[in-house]
Amino acid sequence: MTIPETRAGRTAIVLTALEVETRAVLRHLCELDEEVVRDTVFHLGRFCDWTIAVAEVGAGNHSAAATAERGIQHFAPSVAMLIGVAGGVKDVTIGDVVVATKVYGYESGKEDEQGFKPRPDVLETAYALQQRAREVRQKPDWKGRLDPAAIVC
Amino acid sequence: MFVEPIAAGEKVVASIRAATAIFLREHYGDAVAVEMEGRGFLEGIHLNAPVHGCVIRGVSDQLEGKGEADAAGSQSRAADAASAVAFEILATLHGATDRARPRAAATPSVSAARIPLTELRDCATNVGWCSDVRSPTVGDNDWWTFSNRLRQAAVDGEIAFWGKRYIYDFGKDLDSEPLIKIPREHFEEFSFDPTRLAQADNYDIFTGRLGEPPSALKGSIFRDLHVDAAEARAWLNGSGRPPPGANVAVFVTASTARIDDYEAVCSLIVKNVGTSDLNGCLVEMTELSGRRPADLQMPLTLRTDGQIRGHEHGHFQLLRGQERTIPLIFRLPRRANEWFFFDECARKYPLSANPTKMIVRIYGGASPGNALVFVDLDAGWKVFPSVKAVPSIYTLGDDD
Repeated sequence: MTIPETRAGRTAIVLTALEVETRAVLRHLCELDEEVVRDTVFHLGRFCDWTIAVAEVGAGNHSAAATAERGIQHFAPSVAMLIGVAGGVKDVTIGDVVVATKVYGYESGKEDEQGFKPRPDVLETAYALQQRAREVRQKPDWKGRLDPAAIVC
Repeated sequence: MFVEPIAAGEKVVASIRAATAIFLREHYGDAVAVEMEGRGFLEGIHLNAPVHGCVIRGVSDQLEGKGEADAAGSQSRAADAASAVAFEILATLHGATDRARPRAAATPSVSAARIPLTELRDCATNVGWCSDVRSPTVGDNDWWTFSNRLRQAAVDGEIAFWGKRYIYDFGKDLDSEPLIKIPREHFEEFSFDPTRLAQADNYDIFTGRLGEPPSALKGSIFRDLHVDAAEARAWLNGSGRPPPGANVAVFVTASTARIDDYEAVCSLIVKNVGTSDLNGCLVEMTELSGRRPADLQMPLTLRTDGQIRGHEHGHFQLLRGQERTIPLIFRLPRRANEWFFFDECARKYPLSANPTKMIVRIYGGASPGNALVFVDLDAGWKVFPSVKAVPSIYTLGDDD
C-alpha cells in the first residue's frame, strides 16, 4: 500500500473573546507556536491538515471585526470561526452548542418618541459551514472531541 | 446541538427579565442565544469574500444566575463543547467533496491520508502504543485516529512494532483484577503480529516501554482500547470511526438542592452523552481524603436532586442527552465551615470544611467509571469544585 501525500495544508483563523474559550480551542491544536501580526498575538497550531491561527479579541463587536480583518489579511484563510460562549435566550440549555445560521445586530434601529424601533441588521454565516454543521449534528462523533477529563463511563 | 440564528449586541445580558431579553423575544423571536462579538466578526468576514465564516457558541448561562453559572464551570464546559463542534466541522469539512465519490473508494483513505508513515514510526518507537500521542498531523491525544492508522499500517505490514500486550478475556470484569496483580507471564514482549491481533475476538491493550515492570503500567490503561470483536474488526478494516466511547459525562456545578435547611455546596452533573438511554445509573462515593466522619460507611450512595425532593433512592434512569444533578456536599447557610454528607436515608454526617478529594464511582455506562472530585475553597469559604476522570484502579493514594 502506498501512503498518499498529506493533503495540501489549509488555513483557518479562530477568534475568541475570553481566556476560557482560547484554552478550549488550543486544547485541540498541536505544534503550538505564536505569531505577532502588527501587535495582535495569534497562537498558531496544527489540527489534521489545518493550520489554525487563534486570537483572543476580548468582548465586543468592534475588536472582533478589526481582528478578523487583520487575521484574514495576514493568513489568507479559507475558513474563519468565532468560537465561544453565549447566553441562552430560548430552547437551549447550558452546555448546548449553537452554530449560528445568521447573526442579528439587535442594537440597530431608531429611537423616537414612541421608543426604540428596530431596523433589522443581519449577516449570514457561510452556507457550506452551516451544511457541515447540520451533518455534524446528525452524529455523536463530535462528542468524542470533548475534553475527556470529565467523561467517565 | 442547534443550527439557528443568534443575536449580538454590546451589552452583557445577565437577566431573563432584562429589557434586552424581552426586546429580543419580541423582535428577534428565532434567536436562540445572545452574545457580543458575532455581528462584528461577520462584518470582517463579509468584507473578505470568499472566506467562509461561522459563529459557534456554547451556551454557558440562560440569562439568569449568570455569575453563579459562570463560577460553576459552565463557561469552560460551554467553551469546550463549542470547540468540539468547531473542530469536528473542520475535520469533516473536506467530506463534502469526498462524499460525491463512491463511498468504498473514499473510506480507507480517510485515516491513511492523515498521518505520514515516518511520523507513525517515530511515535510508535516512542510510546509502543499511543499512550500519549503528540502528532503534528492529528491533534495531540487524538489517539483513535492515530491508533486506527497504526493498526492499518500494521496489518498492511508496513511497520514493525514492539511493546507489551496483554490479551484479556472480555468476559471477565477488569475491575475485579487489579492491573498490578496480573501475573507476569501474561505479559509478553512482542513483535507486532497483525494476524493474531486481527483474530483476537476481544482484547485490551496496555502500553509500556520495553523493560518496564508491570507496575509501571498501572494507570495507563486506555479506556477506549477496550473494544469488542466487531469494533476491532471495523478498526482493522480501516473504517475510520471511533469506537462507541464513554456515554456518561460528569461535570461540577452549583446547585440549589436542599435537604431541610441544608443547601448544597457543590454538585455533580451526570449527563448521558451516548446514543442510547441508560437504565440503572448509580453514583457512589468510594473514597474520601482526610478524616472520614466516624459512622460514615463507604461507599456512600448519592442521590439525584430529584430523588432528594421525592424522598426516593436507588438507581435512576438517564435518557439520551439527559442530565441529572447529584448534590455532593451540603451546609447550613450561616455556618460555612461545617459541611455535611447525606446518605440515601437522609442521615447526615458532619465533616469540617477543608479542601477535600473524593473518588466517585458512576455506574450505568459501558463500564463503571471513576471520577476524582476535588473541592477546594478560599478564605471566604467560597467553594471551587473540579472533576476529572481517573482509571478504575485509581485510589486517592495515587494522587500524591
